[in-house]
Amino acid sequence: MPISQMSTLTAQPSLLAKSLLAIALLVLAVNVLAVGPTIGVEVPPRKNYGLSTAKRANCMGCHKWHGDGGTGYGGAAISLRKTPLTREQLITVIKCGRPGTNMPYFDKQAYKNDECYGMTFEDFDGDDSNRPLQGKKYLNERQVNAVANFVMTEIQGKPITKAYCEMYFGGPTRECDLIKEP
Amino acid sequence: MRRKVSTMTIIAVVLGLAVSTAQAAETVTEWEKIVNAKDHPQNWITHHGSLDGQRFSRLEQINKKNVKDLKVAFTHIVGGANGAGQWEHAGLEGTPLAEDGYLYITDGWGGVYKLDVRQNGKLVWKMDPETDREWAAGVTCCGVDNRGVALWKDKVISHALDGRLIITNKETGEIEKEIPVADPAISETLTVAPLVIKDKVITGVSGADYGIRGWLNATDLVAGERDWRTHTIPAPGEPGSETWKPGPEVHSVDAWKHGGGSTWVNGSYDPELNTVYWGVGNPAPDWDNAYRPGDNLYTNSVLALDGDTGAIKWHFQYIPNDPYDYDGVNEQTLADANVHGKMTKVVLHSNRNGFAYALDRTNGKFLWGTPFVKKLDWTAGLDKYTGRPVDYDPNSDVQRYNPASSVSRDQRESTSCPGNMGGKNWPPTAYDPERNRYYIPVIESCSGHVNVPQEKPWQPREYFLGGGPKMGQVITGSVTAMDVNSGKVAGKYETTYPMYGGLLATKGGLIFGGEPDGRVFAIDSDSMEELWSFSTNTAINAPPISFEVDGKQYIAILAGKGGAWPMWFISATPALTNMEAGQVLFVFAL
Repeated sequence: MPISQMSTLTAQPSLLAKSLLAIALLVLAVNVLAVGPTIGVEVPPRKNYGLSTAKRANCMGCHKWHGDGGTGYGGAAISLRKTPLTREQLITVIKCGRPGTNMPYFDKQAYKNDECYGMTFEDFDGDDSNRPLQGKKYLNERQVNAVANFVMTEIQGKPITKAYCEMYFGGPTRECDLIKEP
Repeated sequence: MRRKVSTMTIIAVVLGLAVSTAQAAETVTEWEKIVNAKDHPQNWITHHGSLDGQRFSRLEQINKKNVKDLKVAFTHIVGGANGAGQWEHAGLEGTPLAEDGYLYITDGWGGVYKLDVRQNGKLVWKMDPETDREWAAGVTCCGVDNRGVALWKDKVISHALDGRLIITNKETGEIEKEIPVADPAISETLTVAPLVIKDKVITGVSGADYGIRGWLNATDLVAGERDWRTHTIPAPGEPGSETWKPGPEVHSVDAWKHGGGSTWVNGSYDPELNTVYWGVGNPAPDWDNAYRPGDNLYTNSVLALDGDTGAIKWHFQYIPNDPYDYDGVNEQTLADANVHGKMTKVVLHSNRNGFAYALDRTNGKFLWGTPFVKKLDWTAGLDKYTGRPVDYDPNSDVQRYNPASSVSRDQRESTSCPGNMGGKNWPPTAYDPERNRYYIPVIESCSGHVNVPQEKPWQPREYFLGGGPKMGQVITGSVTAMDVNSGKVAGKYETTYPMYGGLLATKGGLIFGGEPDGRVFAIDSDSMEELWSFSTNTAINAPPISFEVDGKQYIAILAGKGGAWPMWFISATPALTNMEAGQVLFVFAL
């Protein structure tokens, strides 16, 4: 089942939907959150593939570890906590970036066809200030979905908490000790 | 029973004592040895090779005729590559030191390694400072970096990113003392190499982009405590405080407390004048100069300080009320040189703003200022008497310079040449006294700026930028030679990539440097033609040095991707997107 349909399912919590959701979560757990075991070798599941992918893709270089964005050497990044973007819109922005800003594209095929805002690289010839910027690493479908899921489940619409901080840093740090919670 | 001691035993003991005494003596770095470093070209015992900051080796075994035969002598894999916080990996920006057959190098976290050249770089010891990584890395603007150590008597002096000055036994690698100097709780970190002057060590600080109030700090190495500290931003009532006026926000009345002015690039010292020369970085918030009306002394300046007290003797400001994140932090190079036909005690500096400057270092008088980049549009030039940008408006507290290139609260985006990375960034220049030429590692660039008014007050451990850079254009680089006498560009060696590593000049008539794609090169000091290159295949972000052991000359350079560019500026060099991080010391010889 496409992950993009999950939000529809969760909006109608019938028994069938709950069953489908459980199956979907199982599929997601196998496909997105975990690395399948190799015969004879025990591989522990990745705790949060979305977070680790976000780190490797350098999302936090601009949106910061807390996701609240702000000014920085990466430019003035939006707050992922306050963004009103839908899941589909998040995926589009991750894949295609935002030309004219420092938000880079992470899809290897971006602007090679017209799937990004109906534009290709040729549309930016001679326009350096709006040229789409390439991300630090390319992300595949699975990774893009994982990052979008991570943003939606752990960041969007939520306050910065000590629990989030410790999840991000992988354990207690002095940085997290600074967070004052009500 | 009385033991009989043979004559041979006595001879052996005496000889042994003599040998061990000689070895011990070799390892002591006395002040006289540092002052007279030029008389010991086999060693490279201070950050810039000599206290004047020239980075000129007087060795000539490797020269124009034979450099084509230069080959790898040995390598050493350097540790400390792991990242923390937002940083995926650390980097190598350090200058190795070489003394009597041993090399002293650092990794990005402040780990120090002593290597034995006679044993192909075998590790003698490693000092791990156990840096508080997440804590420090959370407030480093531009990578996990350390630029090297200093030697003092039988000790190695180093910094850790988390703010400690560390004194290590040179023989054993044991830490003897740790002295807190900077505080990451208020965004202060240490990436700079220490500068030893007599029995003191001077430390510069990083953190202007987080709104620190910058300083230079002298520690008495004998007492193990602070001797003096000079702030780079004057407090109310001190000279220069009148250049910090409140902006539109109520909290900007305290702008001086968070005015920036970092000092993260190693300075120079003139023993005759007993004067320290040190560059001061950008004001904060970087891109919102309306927050901090006035000239914002002593940001974007060179300070000449008394070597004993740290008192400011004179200053020269390159860009008052900077809106570009241009910086004055780059190194200061001292030379006794012909300038306009007259022998002068000169201090040379290459600024991020694209101008090279020559000042009389006895009094700060401006001598010449010349663009060293191919494209410069933020001002029409420098005043030939004062050295101030001709677009500086003395009747305004908030400068625009060329309004088309600068951001303001009324014009939130712009593009300038050079971009905010420079011009030239921290990677150091080299000066050849025999040719009276000054060689600059150049970032040939233009880039965008964004203004976001600093409406929020300063918060500890948060960026205090008032905007940010905006990438877009692909950038390149060059090594540019300046004739110090005329102040004119004498030649350019074009590079595919911006120069993110520094330079070395040698008596052999060569300039050595490296590019971020991993290519190390040697060019002819006169013709600027390339004579040799070698691909390390891991990024060069560090300057080379030269030294000699047992009659053999070596060139050493650290290779390891670091700094700010892999994080934020990679889109300006898209061909380097897939460069992997890796940390290796390369040492070359004939």
